[in-house]
Amino acid sequence: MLTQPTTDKILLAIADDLNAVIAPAIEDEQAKVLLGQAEQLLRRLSRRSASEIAWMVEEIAQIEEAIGQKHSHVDGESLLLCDVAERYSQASQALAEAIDEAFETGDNQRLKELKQILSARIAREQEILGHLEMVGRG
Amino acid sequence: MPKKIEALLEANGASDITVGGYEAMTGGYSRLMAQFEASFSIDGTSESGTYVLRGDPPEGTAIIDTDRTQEFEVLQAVKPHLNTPAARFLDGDGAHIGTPALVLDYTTAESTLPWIEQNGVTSLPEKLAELAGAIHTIPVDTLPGSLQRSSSGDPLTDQIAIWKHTAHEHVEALPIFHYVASWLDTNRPPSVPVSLVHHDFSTANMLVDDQGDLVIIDFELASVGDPRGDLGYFKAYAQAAPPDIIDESPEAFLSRYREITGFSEDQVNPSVLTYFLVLGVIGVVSQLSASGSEMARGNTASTNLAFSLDGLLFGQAAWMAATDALEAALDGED
Repeated sequence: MLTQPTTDKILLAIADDLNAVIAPAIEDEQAKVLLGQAEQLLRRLSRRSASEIAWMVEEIAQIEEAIGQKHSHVDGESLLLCDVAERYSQASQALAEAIDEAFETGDNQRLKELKQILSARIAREQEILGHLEMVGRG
Repeated sequence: MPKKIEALLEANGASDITVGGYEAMTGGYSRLMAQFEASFSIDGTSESGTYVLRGDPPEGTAIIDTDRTQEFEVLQAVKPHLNTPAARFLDGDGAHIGTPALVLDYTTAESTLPWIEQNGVTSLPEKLAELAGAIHTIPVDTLPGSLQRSSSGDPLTDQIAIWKHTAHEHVEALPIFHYVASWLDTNRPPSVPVSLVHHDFSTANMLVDDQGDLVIIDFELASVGDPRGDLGYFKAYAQAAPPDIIDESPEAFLSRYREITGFSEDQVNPSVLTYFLVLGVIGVVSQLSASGSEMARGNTASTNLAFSLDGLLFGQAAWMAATDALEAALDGED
């Protein structure tokens, strides 16, 4: 398969063309809103597609470390996006349960440790999000 | 569509009907909106003017699932108390329009953010307090019985339960939702009496009329609950779409709001607003989460929905920052 230009670069090129070429030619107000949303989404998908599998794999390891779970990674495991996303959701569920338990027992030190993972997740989400313009709302 | 509108008006007792100038509108984020010109006679009176048709989008494409009949009933109940366009006609089952829809009076009031760019924000904190106060002091027994009310007897408990339910039901695990739900449960403020809650109380649903007064629209998410949810939601939305009118003059806003509602300083203060900044968004958040899950399962798909889900990314950062700020404030009090 041809890997270059990579998916993120192609998505960015499409977003740029939508903004520079298509948007000025659109007069219908509802179509303009939809186009504005699509352009923002494509820019986010560009940033996300470049790194999301690596980010999920890294965070799964961090979660397992933080909750004292044996590392689940095995050589040769599927790197298909849907499979990694499923493992990521399982790790997230384990993290959620650890958070619930820390609140129930009032273990503030444990909460502080677990919250660091949430903070790192939010930092990456903000990297994906970039600037949020509420296209379509008054 | 004009013929369908004529049929709806006729079914509601209007005669001598003409409808024209039908034109789609933007700004109806969750519903399809259009404006039209009409003249007709009803109850022995002739009238003509501009009206707004507000209907459900095609099945499976709505970003939130709400009921036009309930919205119509709420609008009729609140109209005597609020500066809001009157709800005129209802097609609850879509028999005439082809989708559940209602007809509203058109308002010439201007969108809030462009108005602020032209006129500044100075007059608005007190106007906002008066609008919020007016919504939150409508007698609850005059509101439609169909409006959702507290199942536990305590709206805070209900809303925290919705946070937990949303975290549990989403298509993937959401540890930040778990954290927020437990944090909200652990740090509850003093309670206040229940009232009508708009649940999408933001500049997106406000206009400014030629008197400089705020006009409130879109009650599709309304329920009976803790009124401070609206204040928190307003602040949360303003983080994504500034300016935050409350932050322009917090004391002017809070003192006017307390004066109208009779709430105490313990019940409504900057820390409580921050608490509700997190709690108050769950109505919209749970709807978005449910729609996002349906899209992930292949049961629906739209650019608008995918775009709206990005609001959850923005929200997660805002909620965690709010819990940090409140913890720092509470530590300072100890």
